Amino acid sequence: MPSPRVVHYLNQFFGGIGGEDKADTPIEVHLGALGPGRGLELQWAGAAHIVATIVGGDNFVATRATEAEPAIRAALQAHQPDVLVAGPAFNAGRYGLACGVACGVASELGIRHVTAMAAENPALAIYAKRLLTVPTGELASSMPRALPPLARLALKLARHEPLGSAAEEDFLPRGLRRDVWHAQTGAERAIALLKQRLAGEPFRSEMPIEQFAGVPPARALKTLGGARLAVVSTGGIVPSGNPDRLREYNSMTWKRYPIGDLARLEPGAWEPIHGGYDSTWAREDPNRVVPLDALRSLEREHVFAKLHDFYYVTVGVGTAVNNARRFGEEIARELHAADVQGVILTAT
Amino acid sequence: MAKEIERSGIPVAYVTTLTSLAEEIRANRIVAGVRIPHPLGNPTLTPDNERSLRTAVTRRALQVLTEAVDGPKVFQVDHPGAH
Repeated sequence: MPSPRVVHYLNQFFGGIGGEDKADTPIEVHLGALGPGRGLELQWAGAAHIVATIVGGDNFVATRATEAEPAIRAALQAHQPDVLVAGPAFNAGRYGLACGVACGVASELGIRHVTAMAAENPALAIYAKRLLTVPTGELASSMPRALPPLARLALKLARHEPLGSAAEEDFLPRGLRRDVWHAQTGAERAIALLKQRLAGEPFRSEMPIEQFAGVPPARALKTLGGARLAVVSTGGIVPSGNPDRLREYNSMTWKRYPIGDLARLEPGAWEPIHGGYDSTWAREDPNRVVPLDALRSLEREHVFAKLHDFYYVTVGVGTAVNNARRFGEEIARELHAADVQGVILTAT
Repeated sequence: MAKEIERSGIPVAYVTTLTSLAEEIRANRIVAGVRIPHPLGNPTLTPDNERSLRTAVTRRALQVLTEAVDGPKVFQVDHPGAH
């Protein structure tokens, strides 16, 4: 089998053109390896070779992707590599973005790709799921440590060998899941893991639980009496018939409904469509999930000044955290525009 | 969602039965709901008592908006039928 062909993407600095002053350099294509590419070839020891190196200025590619992409595409089509290697970009954000752009073009052409950058590189906030990324140190001085794993993964890809999990192959997890067969059942593995933990032995979770960052508490209202408040719910109580077709799980959107002239949510006029809880009692009385009757009674009592005319709803079960964040941001914008000062958010 | 609304500067009283989950996710003002399928209700009570429970939990949730917190804090409601 002919030795795999590799195209390497580098920025203006590693491509030997210049430093920050050359960051606007448009795409250039050089035959053979440059800079760190030579280090990759040493790792491969003849098993693969770099047929061409694409060099792009960080500013040019990161901010003028619409001009950079066609040039990158032309280079990849001309050289027909088995794999595109981009970087290592370490912690350089624009270089990381540029690697993302280059790999994106490779992806469109059906060419396998791999990149390398520090886990904290800001580009990963955008590209993490779409890139196969070897983690590196933050500084370019860690290049000698970065090249061997990058070279190894690039060779596997170029040879169309199947990849194992992120942990096995040492790349950053992308949040993708594949079903695999285990010799032991989940129950057996869970007990084995528990025994390790009870014995204080080192253990490894099969699925690490995401750690959540906190949010500084918003300032408490000085008094409730003058406050405009809104009610929001993830309990999926919607007008009967679900006219806007809100999804019962894995929500993609939220809705708002006018409640300005309602004293309560009438059973029969509203229904629960949430797929994650037994909806019998909510169907009987939707106020058990969205306490409009109680809020009106407290409003009449002047416990607070006014309930916002709209109620905001989505369904919580199976909803992606990123979507939930977006819903919160979007609803917050409306609430600010309406001068709402406090929220009661009910969940099931 | 509660955290993002809070991040924008509006205090949120988050009523949920899964208070330990809410603490782990680090919502700030967490108000204990009754049961998952009816966080603000209790069908075992008479309608009047249930209304009174709902008003008590809602009133507590609103009060919580006026209380300063340093981080995730769970507020329980003491009322017949709340547990």
